[in-house]
Amino acid sequence: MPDTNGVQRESLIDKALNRKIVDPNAPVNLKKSTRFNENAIQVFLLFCGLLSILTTIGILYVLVSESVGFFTRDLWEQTNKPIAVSIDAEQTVFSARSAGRELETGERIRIQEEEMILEEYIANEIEIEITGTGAGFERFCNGEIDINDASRSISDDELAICRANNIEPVEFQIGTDAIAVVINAENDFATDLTLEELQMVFSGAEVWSDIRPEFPNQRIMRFIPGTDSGTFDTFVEVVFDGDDSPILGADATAISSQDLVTSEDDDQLVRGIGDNAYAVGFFGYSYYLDNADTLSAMTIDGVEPSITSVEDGTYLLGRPLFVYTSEEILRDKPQIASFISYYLTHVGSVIEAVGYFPASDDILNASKQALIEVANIEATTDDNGNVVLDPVNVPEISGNMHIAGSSTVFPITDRIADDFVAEGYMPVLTVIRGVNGTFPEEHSAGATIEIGDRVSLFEFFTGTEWQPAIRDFGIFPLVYGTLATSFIAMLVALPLGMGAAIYLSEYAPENVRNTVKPILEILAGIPTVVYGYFALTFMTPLLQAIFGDVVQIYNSTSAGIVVGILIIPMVSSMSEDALSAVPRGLREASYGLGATKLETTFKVIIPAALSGIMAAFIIAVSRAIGETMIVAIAAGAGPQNDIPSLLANRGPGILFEPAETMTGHIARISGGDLSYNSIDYNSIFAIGLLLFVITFALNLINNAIIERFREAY
Amino acid sequence: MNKKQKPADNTYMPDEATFKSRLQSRHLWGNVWRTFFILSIVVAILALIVLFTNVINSAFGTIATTFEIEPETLAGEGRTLSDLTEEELVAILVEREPNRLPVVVRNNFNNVPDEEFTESTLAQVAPNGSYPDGFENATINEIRDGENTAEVLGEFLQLNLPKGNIINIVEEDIVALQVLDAWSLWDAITNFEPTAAEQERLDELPVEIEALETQLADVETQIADKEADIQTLRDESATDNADAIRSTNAEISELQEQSSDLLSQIDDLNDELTLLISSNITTSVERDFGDAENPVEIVRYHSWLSTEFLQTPMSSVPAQAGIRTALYGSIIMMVIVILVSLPVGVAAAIYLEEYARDNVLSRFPLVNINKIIETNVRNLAGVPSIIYGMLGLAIFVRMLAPFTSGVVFGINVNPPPTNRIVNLMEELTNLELDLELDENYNITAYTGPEWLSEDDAQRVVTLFRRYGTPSVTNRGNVPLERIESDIANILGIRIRNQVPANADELDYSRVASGFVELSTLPAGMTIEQFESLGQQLRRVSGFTLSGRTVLSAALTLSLLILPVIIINAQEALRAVPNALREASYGLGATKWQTIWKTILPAAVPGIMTGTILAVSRAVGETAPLIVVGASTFLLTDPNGPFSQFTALPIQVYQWTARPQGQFQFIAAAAIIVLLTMVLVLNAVAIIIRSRFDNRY
Repeated sequence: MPDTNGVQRESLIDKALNRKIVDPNAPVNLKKSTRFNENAIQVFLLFCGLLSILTTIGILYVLVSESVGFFTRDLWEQTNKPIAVSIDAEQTVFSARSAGRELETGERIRIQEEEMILEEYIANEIEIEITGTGAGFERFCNGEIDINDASRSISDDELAICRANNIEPVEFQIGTDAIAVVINAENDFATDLTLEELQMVFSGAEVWSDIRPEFPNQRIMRFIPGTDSGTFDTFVEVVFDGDDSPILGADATAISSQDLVTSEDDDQLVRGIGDNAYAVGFFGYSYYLDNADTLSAMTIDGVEPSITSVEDGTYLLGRPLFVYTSEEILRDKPQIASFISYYLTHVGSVIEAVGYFPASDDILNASKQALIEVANIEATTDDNGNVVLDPVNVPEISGNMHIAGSSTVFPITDRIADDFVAEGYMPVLTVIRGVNGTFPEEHSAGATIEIGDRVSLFEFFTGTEWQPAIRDFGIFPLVYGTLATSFIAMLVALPLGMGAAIYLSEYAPENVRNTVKPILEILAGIPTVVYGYFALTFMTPLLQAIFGDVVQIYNSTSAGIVVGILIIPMVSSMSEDALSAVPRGLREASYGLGATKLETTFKVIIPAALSGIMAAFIIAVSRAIGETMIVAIAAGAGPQNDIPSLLANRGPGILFEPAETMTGHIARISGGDLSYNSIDYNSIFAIGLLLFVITFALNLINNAIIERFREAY
Repeated sequence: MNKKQKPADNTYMPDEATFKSRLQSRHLWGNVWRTFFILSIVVAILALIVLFTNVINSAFGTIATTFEIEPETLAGEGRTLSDLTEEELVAILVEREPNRLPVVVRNNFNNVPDEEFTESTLAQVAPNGSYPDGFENATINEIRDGENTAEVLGEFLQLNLPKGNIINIVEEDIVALQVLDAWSLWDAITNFEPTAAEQERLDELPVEIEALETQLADVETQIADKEADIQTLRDESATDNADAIRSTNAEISELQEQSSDLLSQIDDLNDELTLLISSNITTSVERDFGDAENPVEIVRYHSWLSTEFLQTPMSSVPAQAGIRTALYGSIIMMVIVILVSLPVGVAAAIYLEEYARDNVLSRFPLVNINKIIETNVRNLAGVPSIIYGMLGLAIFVRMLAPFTSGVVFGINVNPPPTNRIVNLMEELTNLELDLELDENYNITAYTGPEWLSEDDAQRVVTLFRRYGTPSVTNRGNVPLERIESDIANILGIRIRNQVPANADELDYSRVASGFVELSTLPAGMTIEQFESLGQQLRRVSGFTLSGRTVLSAALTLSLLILPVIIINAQEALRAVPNALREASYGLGATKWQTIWKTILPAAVPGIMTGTILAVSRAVGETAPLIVVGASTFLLTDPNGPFSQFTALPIQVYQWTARPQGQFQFIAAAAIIVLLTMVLVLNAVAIIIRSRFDNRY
């Protein structure tokens, strides 16, 4: 079979030559071999496309995450509240001296780089108000205060009110005060009066000669404590048997109001009497002692106020001093019981320094006994038979105290409260230690406590100062800078860009257009940093030559104008595209109706191309807002924090002042030696986010316009 | 003309006069507006011209210079310094300033901190450099104590510095060239010398002033005389001579008037003289620097832009500053930008144009991914460039720092000197280490702390060398508290009391930002502690990971121009007629074959044009580079993608922002270089476009 032989021979030859044997009849799958490749390529291409989405996501992620860092970052602020005692690394309760800003439970605090959270904060404050004894009792009986400083005992009326409110007052006498009747130091006639004469002085008498004929015929000026004060009450009690109408009443025997000055402020009384040679007044003996150089105290019935005369009762105007609290308070607020206990123990050493007379041992013992009865306080008796209360462990006490009442007792209470604080009655902090990866460590006494503050969104958007150095982060000055330069840029770019576009599209002969367009392209292609140089070295000197010295070296106007020049080519080329896209037919129809070229342009073509022109404008605004180098070089290196006053003083001249923009600020901050772990670093991303949102929104609007009007013709 | 009410019907026609006058006014307005339109164009073109003029005006001009030694005396007759060879230049240095050479070396190589400089060997001072024979491991101190200090250091400089730097050093230290003052080109042309009239006036003025001063002196003598007269009269008898005194007084006041008149004349003349002198370059130089010790030379037409300007690196002295490093930086960046953004951009464009019309992804009505990509690209093109800079800062510089700094590839890892490693380990362990390392960082002798085996010590050393960060491995025979407290004591790290129960399960790869290789962590140490330890050690060892490299900047710029390239490439692809596609399909080509063999070649000119324009934009971009962290002062050339960088626009920005006047001039010179690059790229793009325009 020659055929077979032929085939065999062929195949043998193929073999010998190592040829590939192809079966011409075998099915060929062209598609299959290429499909995988084609798909792989398509996936690769898609991936490249997705990269752009990845970029957007990346931008958003970076800006948002760092901005979150900006708004959640703690700016540590000193409270001036140092810790009282040194604390070791394991302690979680310690006390702080009470000056400075209040802390709040749950707040984050920091001591010497260690961060902690305040689990509980007890302010432990003694608030002492001077209200006068009467007003003090009023509040005391309403349960508003814990302790009332009284310079007289509680009256029956007041007691009734208290009891009506289920408050059972407990009285502790702590000492005695004398009321001094005081005259000007120059007064040498009325140095001694009888009680009757005193009554006359503080009732109807008009002139001193009414008291005794040999006294000068001068009006009597009276300066007396307010009617709420215990001093007044005591005075009325002793001199007028509790009837205040001779002083305050409206009848003829009373003092005419022009000769009477009442004041709760003892200093005012002292001044009044000191300034007036014919003045007379009364107040606590201690105040007299403090002012003995300008005043003198008169003797009553020949008795001089002194410790002995008050103690033995010969000086009529002596009075006891009390502190009042209630059984309920002593029971419910152990800190008050402790404080009263501390008070009674230490009042003896304080009261003389204040200028009062200490209570006798009997009276003090009676007070202590009263305390022992109501509160759960231990006591012993010393060799002299006096009661000695157990010492109070002050640092263990916690809870606020509210004290009000007499200005006479105030100095005693105040000093005792100071001592109380010094012994350790301070704000108490219970903390969770070692927050945020810090390690609990020993802190020495006096270390200050810092509070974590954060930049709030509200502050960011409404603040009017941007001063990172003092932690002011109000975006307004930067936004102002951006708006100012962009506004000027628009003033330049929009009319000129439009004008150029209209000329190129409607008026220019073909050859002019062919020459001018590349020139505009060159203008658009010049790096912005060169424009910055141009603004600083040409535009600013030019403005200075025109407007004089009001133009600062760095100013918004110069930067704005140059940004405008930069944008002209963009506006003109986009607008020109829009104008050229208007069909010829519209033009010809307009001409046919007899319209001039200008009328055609303004009334037909521009309205027809409006969407494209709008898009050009929006893109131009977006570009101006985002422009960086020109403003970084020429608009000034510092946010304009002085806008309101500049605007008031200079009016539009504010545009000749430097004003950093958002972009300029970002460039300046990041151009320096920027630490990644600083608020500055975070802040530029917050600005960047705002910038991104603005420009992105403008781009979206632009896209929407183009999309919507694309198919107009 | 009467105002006419427009009738209600449409038959109204104005009479001829009204019509004509209206027509006139319509045409008038037409012309007014037309003028405005032309003016707009003129303003734009004028701005361009003024901009160029302004730059040229600053880039050239007059300078007044002085120097201690004339370059010609150094270089020899008729030669300039740049004609000399490196050897000759170094010889000049060695001869003239032998004692300054160590300082020169220190200033030009900043690999070791200044305080360690004298203790460092040449190999540490310039890693990867070449060294004079036998001196590679000699410390600066040893060289200084040796005999041929200057020769050795000179040779070292010559081996390791480019010629431009050596010329700079010679100029700075020996010639001490100083540009005293500089003027722009306009001044050089118009106000160089006083004109004849001005010169005449200049000659006259001192004479006039002198004459006036003589007069003044005369008047003042007269006044003094009269006053003496009055005194005499008074002494005689004030009442008798009252009339005489009065008249003399009157004379005096007349004379005083004369004198003040003369004074104001002299002032005026002086002002005129000052103005005349200041307004001319030669005269003001004479006035300001006439007394200078060294001769002052005025170069009337000096070009700040010169080959030297292109060849020398930066300097804090404007006259000696150049843009070599910046130029290199820009070029390397441009290359990387093209390599990255061209393929990706074209690929994305192909996808969008050729595939995205009808594939699976566009069939979801709500999330049409193709549409989203398209819109997104357009939006990205409008994002301000500084935002891209921030993206680059956060992603490339910080997050991808291991890559962009080159550390992952083993580049840019400067191992600390061996003695420093030992110090550091001693610091870490708080123990006397008996450890010796050979030059390859192998331990040759070790009797270190018990708990650290020699193997582990070697590992620590290796890690130190590689990353500058050590690790500590606890073998269990030393109480944990001991290690912790030792470390804590030295490094001030506070150890927390509570140890997380799952401390062993922590992801150690995160430790110290992923750069400590660890098998085990001392039990009880928290990840935060160790991270903090790593940071501390990194600080101690002087190693910092910096992603502020050419690569980061180039990637940022690539992302920035990617949308532009995509949009341009899309347009180029769209311009390829469908007939080509159909013909290709008709021949049986697959889709990809059609794209690759037919459409792409047809679209290449368009793509090229778009890409070149985009790259020219990237070359001029400044803001993102500032944010990404361009160096502002860089003496060494960038030598690859992982080096620190600066770029031309950054230089322009830096110099423009400087207050000293002379920097404005070199900024202008740099601008010319930058503009040349940009405009050449633009021109190329335009040529390509016009050559291949309308092929179909």
